[in-house]
Amino acid sequence: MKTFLDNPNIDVLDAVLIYSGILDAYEAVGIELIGENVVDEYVIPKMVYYVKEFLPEVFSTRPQASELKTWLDDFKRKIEEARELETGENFTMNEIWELRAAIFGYESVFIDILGEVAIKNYVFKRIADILSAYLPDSFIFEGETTLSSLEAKLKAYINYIREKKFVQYANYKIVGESVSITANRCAFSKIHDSEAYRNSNVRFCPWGMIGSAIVASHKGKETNIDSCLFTTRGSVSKIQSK
Amino acid sequence: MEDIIISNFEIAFIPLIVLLLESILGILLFLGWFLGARRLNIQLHHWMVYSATSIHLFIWFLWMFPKSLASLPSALSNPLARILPLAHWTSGLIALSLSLLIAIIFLFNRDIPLALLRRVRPLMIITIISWLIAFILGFIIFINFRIKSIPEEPYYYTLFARVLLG
Repeated sequence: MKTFLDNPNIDVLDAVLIYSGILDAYEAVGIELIGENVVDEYVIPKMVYYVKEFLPEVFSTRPQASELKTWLDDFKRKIEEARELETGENFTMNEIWELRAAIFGYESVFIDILGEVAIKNYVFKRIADILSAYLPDSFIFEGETTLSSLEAKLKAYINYIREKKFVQYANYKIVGESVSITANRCAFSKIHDSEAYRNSNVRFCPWGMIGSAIVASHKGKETNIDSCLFTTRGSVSKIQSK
Repeated sequence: MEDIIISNFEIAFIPLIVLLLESILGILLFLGWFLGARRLNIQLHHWMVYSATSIHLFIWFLWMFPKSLASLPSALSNPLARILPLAHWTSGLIALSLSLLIAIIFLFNRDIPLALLRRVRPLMIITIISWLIAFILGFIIFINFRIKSIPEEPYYYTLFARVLLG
């Protein structure tokens, strides 16, 4: 299976920024609900368990929270530089994969701390709202004109993740107020193989989260991820706007 | 005379009908993968698999099981000479048993837990492979049989026409 991880020449700045947007959104919601020190005191110490399998180069033989913090700070700095320089060239493909692993760590810790109900009923609505500010122009505009329909925006998004080879198959379906985003043979699906991932009862696919941000920004309504069904190499996320 | 007609009809046409049904089953499995599993249309995938399993179960109960049971003692008495049907029965039985097991598992786990899916996935692959082996062996047995029975075929068709037209 050839994915974007095999192609070092693709500039995936949009993907880097939107993925880091998910981390920022989690952090913002965490600060709102728990407090200013949420990442350092709660997230990073617990996050080690979830990400140590995916980020072996970050840790010494005994994984430490301080090592993860240093790595995460450096990573965020690098993202800021990429944002300023408007290029994702300084990112290796493996680093973008690491960003996915970090999202899994954040997500799992927030589910641990806040519980599934709070995540579904509050956190995702806020994340969709915050993340909509990170959406690349290509999902919203075609040249100078704004894409008028939700279908056109979701199509632009689906085409982007397919063209950049993040996934081999992707699609969307709109039924009334509900939208489903399907992504199969995902470049990041090796995360599904980990024990920590398999044993989590609640997890959410970043492709679904980005989809919910598109729906939220288009409709101007609160949007929630109802469910995410995971297979070994893909996921189907059901998004509901209220 | 009636017994002879039924017996000849059974020899001449039932294997052909079984081959056609098994080919339909193969098409259902392909569509279940191509339109279902590949596009993560899980409901469609499940329907295709349930239909294929039901067709296979139906054929097995009505034809394959009684037929193989009747031929089993002679096949076992000279297994080397009857290696083809023995391999066909074994692989077919493995495919049927596993497909039933998988169908039951997902009938009771409609939310498809990832940990369960990962455990069951190798069984799905074994099921498909064993069904393919059974299908290919069955096809070879069918062709062998047809070649042997070609000189008599017009006779069977006449009998079939007689049964149909009374």
